[in-house]
This record gives sequence, C-alpha cells and structure tokens, in this order.
Amino acid sequence: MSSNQKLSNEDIQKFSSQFQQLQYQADALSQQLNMVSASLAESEKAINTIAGFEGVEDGHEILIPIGSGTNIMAKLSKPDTVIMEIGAGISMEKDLDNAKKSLEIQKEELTKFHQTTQNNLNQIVTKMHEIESVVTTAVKGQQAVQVAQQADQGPMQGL
Amino acid sequence: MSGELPPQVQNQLAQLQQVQQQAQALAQQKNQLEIMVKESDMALDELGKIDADVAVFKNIGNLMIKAEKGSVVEDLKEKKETLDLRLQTIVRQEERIHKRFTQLQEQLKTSVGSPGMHAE
Repeated sequence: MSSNQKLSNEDIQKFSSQFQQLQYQADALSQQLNMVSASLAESEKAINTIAGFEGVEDGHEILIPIGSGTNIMAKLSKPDTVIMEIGAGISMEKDLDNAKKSLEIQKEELTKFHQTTQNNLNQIVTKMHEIESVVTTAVKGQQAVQVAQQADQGPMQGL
Repeated sequence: MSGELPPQVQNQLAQLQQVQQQAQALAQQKNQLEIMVKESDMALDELGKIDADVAVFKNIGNLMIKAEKGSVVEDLKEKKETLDLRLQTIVRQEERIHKRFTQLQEQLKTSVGSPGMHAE
C-alpha cells in the first residue's frame, strides 16, 4: 500500500468497506478477549479456593454468601473433594489435587488462547492504522492540490 | 440505487440476500451443534477415566442431581447420536443453500451483464 498515490472514489469506497469489516472483526475479538479474561479470573479464583481448603476437616464451619454481603452458616461435608463440571450438563466428584490439576490445564489453555486472540487483534489494528494512514495522506494530498489549483486560478480570474 | 435496477434484477438481489441470511443462520446452528457435540465428547472422555463408584451429577434446571455413571454415559451417548444426526442434516441443508447461492449469483451476473442493463 503506497500512501503517495492518488485515490479514486472507488479506492476510497474499497478502503472504507475493508476498514468497516476489520472494525467488526476487532470488536468480535475484543469481546472474545473479555470473555477469556473473565474465565481466566474464574479459574484463578477456583484454584485459590481449592488451595484454601487443603487440610480443612469434615464439619468445618463456613459462610455461604447469599448476596449484599450477607452469609449463612454451613458445615462442610467431604472438604477433600469438589464437584466439577465436565461439560454437557454433567459434573463429577474430584479430589482436590485432581481438581487443581484440571483447573491449571484449563488456565494454561485459556492463557494460550488469550495470547493468540490478542495477537490477531493487534494484527487487525495494525491493518486498520495502515488503511487510515493511506486514506488520510491521500486526502490531504488531494486537498493540497485543490488549494494549489484554486490559488493558480485566483490571479487569472482577477485579470 | 435499487430503484434504477430492472425488477428482475431487484428480485434476484432480494433472493440472494434471503439465501445469504439462511446460510448465516445455518452456520450459527452448525457452530452451536458442533460445540455441543464436542462438549459431549469431552464429558464422555472424562467419564471413561473414572471408576463406577465416583459421584456424578446431572444438571436439572438450577439443580444438580446425583446419578449413576452408567446411566449418565448412556444418556450422553444417546444425546450425541441425536446431535450427530442434526449436524448431518444441517450440513446437507448448508450444501443445498450454497448451491442455490452460487446459482443465484450466476443468474445475477448474467442479468447485470446482459445488454438490456446498459441500454438505458
């Protein structure tokens, strides 16, 4: 893409639709990034909770949040296991170590996906900047030519 | 702009847009089904690794109810079969829609390229 060339209306239309398409892709990727970030935070939270449960015994008193900073008291049963979702509406019991391993694998995959998505987004943003720069330079160039032409015509008209 | 186009071309354009919308809807459905199949596969894979006495729970609305591993595996396999069938149907529909789209596109190209279009 050369920024010195003169752009026809057709070129500008082409760039405009290309820019719009890239914008849609960028928006979709940003949304995806937000979702992945939220899932990553959730995995991290679950890993920390599991770490906190290590060594806790049967019947230990806990508080369960019910909203607005309010909790109800409960007693733990089987604190050495958790129930984890495995997909398709099915959950299964796992001991703390296995659950932690699964969550760490999940976190690793999410981190990789986050990185790939971020790279894709960066590439799209770079392309958008390129288009913006080409169009802006060409428009400025055309405006300068128009101004020069008007200046040339000015004294002629006065004669 | 479409006001300047002959009625035949306008009609073909409308049909093309309609077919495009149908193709988009089908692609979305296919995507959802593929995710569901993948999830079922993953769940079956996980269930295959555990003993029969490990506690397994099924989602029922907002609740999770304890279930036998064997029956959960059977249910999942059955669900997956249904999903696979639906996926096959969607793939066939998609093929038909793509053919129709190409056909309409060709018709439109012919109409736009015909001398009558440039006569005005």
